[in-house]
Amino acid sequence: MKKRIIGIMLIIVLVVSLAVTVAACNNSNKTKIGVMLYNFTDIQGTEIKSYCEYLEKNFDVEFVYEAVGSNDEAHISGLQNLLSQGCNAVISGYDTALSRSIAMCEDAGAYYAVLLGEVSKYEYLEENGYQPTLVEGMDSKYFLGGVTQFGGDPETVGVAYAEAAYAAGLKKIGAISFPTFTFKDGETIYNSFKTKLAELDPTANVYELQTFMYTQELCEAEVTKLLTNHPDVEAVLGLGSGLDYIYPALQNAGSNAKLLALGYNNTVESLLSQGKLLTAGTNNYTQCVASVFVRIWDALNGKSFADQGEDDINGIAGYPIITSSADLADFKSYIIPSDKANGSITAEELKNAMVTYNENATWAALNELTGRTLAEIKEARAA
Amino acid sequence: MKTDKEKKVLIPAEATVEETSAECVEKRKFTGADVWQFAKSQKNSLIRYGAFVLVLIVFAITTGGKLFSTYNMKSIISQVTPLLIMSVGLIFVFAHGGMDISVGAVVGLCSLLSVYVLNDTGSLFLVLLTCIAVSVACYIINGGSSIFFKIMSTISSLAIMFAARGIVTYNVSRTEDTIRFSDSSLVKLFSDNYGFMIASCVIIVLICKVLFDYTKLGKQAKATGDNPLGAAQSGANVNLIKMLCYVVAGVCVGIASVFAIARVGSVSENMGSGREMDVLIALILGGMTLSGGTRSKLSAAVIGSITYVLLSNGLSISGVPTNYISLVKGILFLLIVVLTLRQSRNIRELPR
Repeated sequence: MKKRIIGIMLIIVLVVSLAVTVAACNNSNKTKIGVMLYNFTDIQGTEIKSYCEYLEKNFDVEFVYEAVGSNDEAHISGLQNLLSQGCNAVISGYDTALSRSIAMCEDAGAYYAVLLGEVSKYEYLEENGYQPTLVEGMDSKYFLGGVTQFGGDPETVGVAYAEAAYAAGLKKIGAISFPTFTFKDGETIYNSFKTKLAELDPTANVYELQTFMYTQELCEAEVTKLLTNHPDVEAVLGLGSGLDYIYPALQNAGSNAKLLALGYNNTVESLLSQGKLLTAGTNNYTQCVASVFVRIWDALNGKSFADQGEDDINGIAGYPIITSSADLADFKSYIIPSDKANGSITAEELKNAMVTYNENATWAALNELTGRTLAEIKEARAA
Repeated sequence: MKTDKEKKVLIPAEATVEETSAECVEKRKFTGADVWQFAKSQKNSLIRYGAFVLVLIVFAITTGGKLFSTYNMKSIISQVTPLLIMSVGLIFVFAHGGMDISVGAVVGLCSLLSVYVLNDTGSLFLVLLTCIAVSVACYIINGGSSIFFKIMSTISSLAIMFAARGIVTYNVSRTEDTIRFSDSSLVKLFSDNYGFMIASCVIIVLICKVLFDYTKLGKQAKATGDNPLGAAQSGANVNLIKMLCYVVAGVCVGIASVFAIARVGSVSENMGSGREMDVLIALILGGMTLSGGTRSKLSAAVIGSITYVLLSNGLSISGVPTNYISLVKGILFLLIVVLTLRQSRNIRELPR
């Protein structure tokens, strides 16, 4: 009997798998763009996917997705899978195995761009006397560059957070981030935060920057260390995914310290209203996707910006900051709206930024469009 | 009265002495029941190969032939090669009842050193030697701790995993630049030469097949997996056998590391992470019993690695939504495990 049940289960599973795969199978002749991310289940992944779906409705394009986790080999396998599907271009979340990825895309005749990070065309190695050395593959015509986050100026984020800390009257502030080698901007934001707060309130004390490697356990260890060394800490500048890692760690440690967080998730509303969270913020996902999509679409149509220099390989995406419930309402309306036609960048604005549709389109105008602040986006939608 | 066990003896209990003669054999004809009996007796092999063939057929249909496109075949070869070589090596460890969860970290460490060695010397041969030496050293420490200090093999490999991963993370964190090959054309043999990949797999599998099935090493390793005391009493030097198994695994993981890093071209702190699970899943998909023993078969590593990569690749290029891929893989994996690894109550055995 058991054998029969198992046999039937096997058949059901195979039939369902077959049905799912056949249903999902698509042989359209649209331009196909692959998107690779760590996952598509968090707010970042779902919003990126959502904007891609909006683009599908407005351009003759189809997006295919590949979740690749944080493993280099999985990244390469994911890229191979996307190229096997006939993708004309691939957007990668991060610069994982960049040179190899570019080489693979070049072989397959597909364009490649990095979505959530700046890429450097040159490296400065000790063995080369710290002279700029071109990174392998970066001069490929198939590589379309990356996206500079924080509106291209992470220091302004530190300044904004310092002003929020000053307004709340905070004097003793800890800081926790990801290691500098994985998140260079974290240190920049920390330094500008510290400098600005010292200007605003010389009596305020910002403790040394602590770092942890992407796991909840290691984050909790850093939070414990902070609370042990500085039991009087009033707030934490959470640069390493403050809401996902640092807030739960503070809760587990029984601390009432307030949080100034980089990051956004669905707890922001309640934490803001309870006064536990003073600031939150995140990359404008729409602007990130828009920046690389324009470059890909133009490249696929054989167009490029006349004013884009050889070394201008990074676009710009803004970083909306939430410090009040009004900011949060605007964020929901303009940064993560369910209807992207009401969001940061509409299809019409996007077409206007492309050389394919507008011969006068420029690289500078594209960066201006994708670097707009929340207030500027709100104004544009009101017009 | 015949006991239940006696009824299960291969020779039909009803047969007389005369009927077991050549005349009896001539009289017998293949019937549906015989086919069914054969299928039952070869159940595990049928499921193992059946799953592979099924995966192949299903994805050939759902991908509209893309599965067999030149580009995809190359992708599959480059994905299978490191996994297959690792699995084939580690089967020696699992066969004697050992366990290894350090393979991913060892691959990470070897990859890191590969980049340093190639950038400094430009010699691919030295890279290969370094990887093998480092990997064998890791596995000797792993096996030595397990054998001589009587530490559970899982724990000793955990220690190696942390140490190797720690070295990789420390080195990666020392620089903001990516640690990468300064001239990746030097490793093209391992990254882009698919004939070389296939040849390497074939040669390594053949060597390991001989070692595993036709030499004292393999036979005694399997005997040790079944019953270490029995193996020792039969004359096997159990400790030496275990240590040699770790050395074989080390050599294979070292070679696989070169294929892995050549494929990626740069090293991050996550290089190789998750490989331990890939190997375990591949072996289990291939029908390997992780408790080891005489039921261990080298073919499990080969067929399991190919099935695992085909499954991942096929689901992805069929366009299955990413959110469902893990679910489908999980269900198929569970079913195959249930069907192949559960203890059968119908195993034919002679009365003791």
